[in-house]
Amino acid sequence: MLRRFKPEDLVAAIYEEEGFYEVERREEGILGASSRIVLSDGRRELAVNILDEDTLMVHGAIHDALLQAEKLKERYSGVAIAIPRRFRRAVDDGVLSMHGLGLIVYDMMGAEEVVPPRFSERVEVVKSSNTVMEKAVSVEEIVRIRSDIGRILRMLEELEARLDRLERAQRSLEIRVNKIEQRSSRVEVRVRETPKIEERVKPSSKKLPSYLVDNPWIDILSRRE
Amino acid sequence: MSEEYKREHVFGIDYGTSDFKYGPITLGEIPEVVENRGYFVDRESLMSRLMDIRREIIVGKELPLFLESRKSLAERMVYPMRNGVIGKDDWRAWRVVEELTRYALESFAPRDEEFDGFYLVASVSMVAPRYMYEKLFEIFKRMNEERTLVKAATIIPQPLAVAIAHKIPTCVVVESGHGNSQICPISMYPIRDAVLALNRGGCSANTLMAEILKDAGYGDLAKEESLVRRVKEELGLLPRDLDSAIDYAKANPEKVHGRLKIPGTRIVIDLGEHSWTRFLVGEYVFNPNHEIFQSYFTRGMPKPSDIKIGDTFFYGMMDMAEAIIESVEKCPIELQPHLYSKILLSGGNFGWRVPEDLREVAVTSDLKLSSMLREKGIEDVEVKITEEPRFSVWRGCIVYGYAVPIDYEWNWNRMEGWLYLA
Repeated sequence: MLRRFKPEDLVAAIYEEEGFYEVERREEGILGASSRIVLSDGRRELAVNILDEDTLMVHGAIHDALLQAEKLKERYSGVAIAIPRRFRRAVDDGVLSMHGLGLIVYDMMGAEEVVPPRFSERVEVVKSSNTVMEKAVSVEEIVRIRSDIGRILRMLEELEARLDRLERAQRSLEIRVNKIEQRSSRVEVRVRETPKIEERVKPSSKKLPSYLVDNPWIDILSRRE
Repeated sequence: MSEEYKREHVFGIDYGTSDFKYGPITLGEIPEVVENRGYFVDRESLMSRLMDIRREIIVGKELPLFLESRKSLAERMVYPMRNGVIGKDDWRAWRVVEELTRYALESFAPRDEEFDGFYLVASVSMVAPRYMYEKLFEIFKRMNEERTLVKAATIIPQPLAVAIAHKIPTCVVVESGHGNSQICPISMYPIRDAVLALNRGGCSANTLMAEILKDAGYGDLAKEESLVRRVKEELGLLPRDLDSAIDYAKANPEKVHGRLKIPGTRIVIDLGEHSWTRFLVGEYVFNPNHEIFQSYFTRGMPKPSDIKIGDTFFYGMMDMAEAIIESVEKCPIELQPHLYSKILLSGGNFGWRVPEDLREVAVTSDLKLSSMLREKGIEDVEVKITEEPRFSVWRGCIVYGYAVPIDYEWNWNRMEGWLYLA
């Protein structure tokens, strides 16, 4: 069975290596985006507004997303937007870079940071000044607890999805066993006629096959209309 | 149905002349491979009664388990794509294609409820006529009779898939298979008006190799097609220049001496004083016009003739460089230098070996073709042999399906897009 990653997971994964962990995830009620994740490295907070294909089908959605992202700069050290890879050409890198907004593109195989977000010094300074030691410690504690809760919630979601899949597989197996039992009176040579190699299907990976990486045809073909 | 679903369920099929490559995007770099053939079972035979074989036709990896006598092999084994084109009324070949397609799709179709059919990208020869496209779409539609296996399908020419897999948008793809060779310029789209085909391929070199074996005293073995092919692959050479290579071979017989032991048998083939003919085998594929080949034609070896299959004219005796030039010159003048600067050689017929001690006189296909084109006045030529040629068509299919939007629907004029079947 194919393992499908959510865009939020793909986006969070690219910042994990830089020491960021997810502290908040909202999938409803976000202005100018379909979901939002907030990542933190304990010192800085990065908000990423994620737009899916349905959101982008609405006229002016990109402009709305950028304006809403601009507003977020007041609350977070860094802000980025994530869009499906096929809409990559709808956004100008230079403009985003000038305004300090980050750009991430994603598809089902993974996510890629195209324009890195610019982190504001102000928030870092406020957080690193540590004028009141006790207060700083308690903020970090809060961030850590929120991160733990976020992680636990994600694990629960994953377990729930796995359970669903197992239940479906069990139902399917029961049906097949019943059919085999019904036919067991006959010698079934047909079994060897259609070998099943589903087991060889690998779960979708975040790593693209070599022939898909930096292939100019993807851009050429995706503009066929 | 979303783009995301499509990208997760792209399925590629390469109907190659010898091998049938298939599999979904999730396989990554390498597809499944079985021989492109089917075996029609004799349902009256004792063996099939004993084994309770109910199917009319067997394809896939277990096919050898069902084979019977050598005589019945010739009658019952069908290779549908031997020259890239299937006759409209060749029902046996179409049955094999249908069975192979079903075998491929059922091997990978997930059982979960979310599955609503693959986005199938099939690839066929550049010279496949329109009725082959129509027949294939009918077959894909029939795949959905029991459950939905194909959500949408499209068919692309093999040279386009090769160019896509090699990430080159403007190039000339020369595909040389078993029965013929096709030259196809590509600039974002295949330039169909400039396609040129040659009635020569791996089988032409096999024919010459068989004649050489007869001359060397192995007339009995020359009838075994697979053995002749093996000798060609092991002993055949591609000369840098045929006359110089023959002179070299006659001056250095020990270096060019051709001897081959067939593993697992007592057969040893020794070309002896005929070893210089090793250079003829490669040359014949690239240029059969050398006067030395006349002696073979006059002794009865069939000369590659000009023929018409479907809508395409296949040239018999045109040399490979001339064919590329003629094809490129049908394209706009501005484009021509870009096309010459990227020539991709694809297919097993370009895999000539160069033994270390014969580097002076034997060459690889890319060097041979570069020098032939330069001799004809074409400068700035870059010829490249495709990497992993067996899989590049399948990989091109996967990239095509991954990138082409779901709302780009099939159009018979441009011969592109998705045809929705479920």
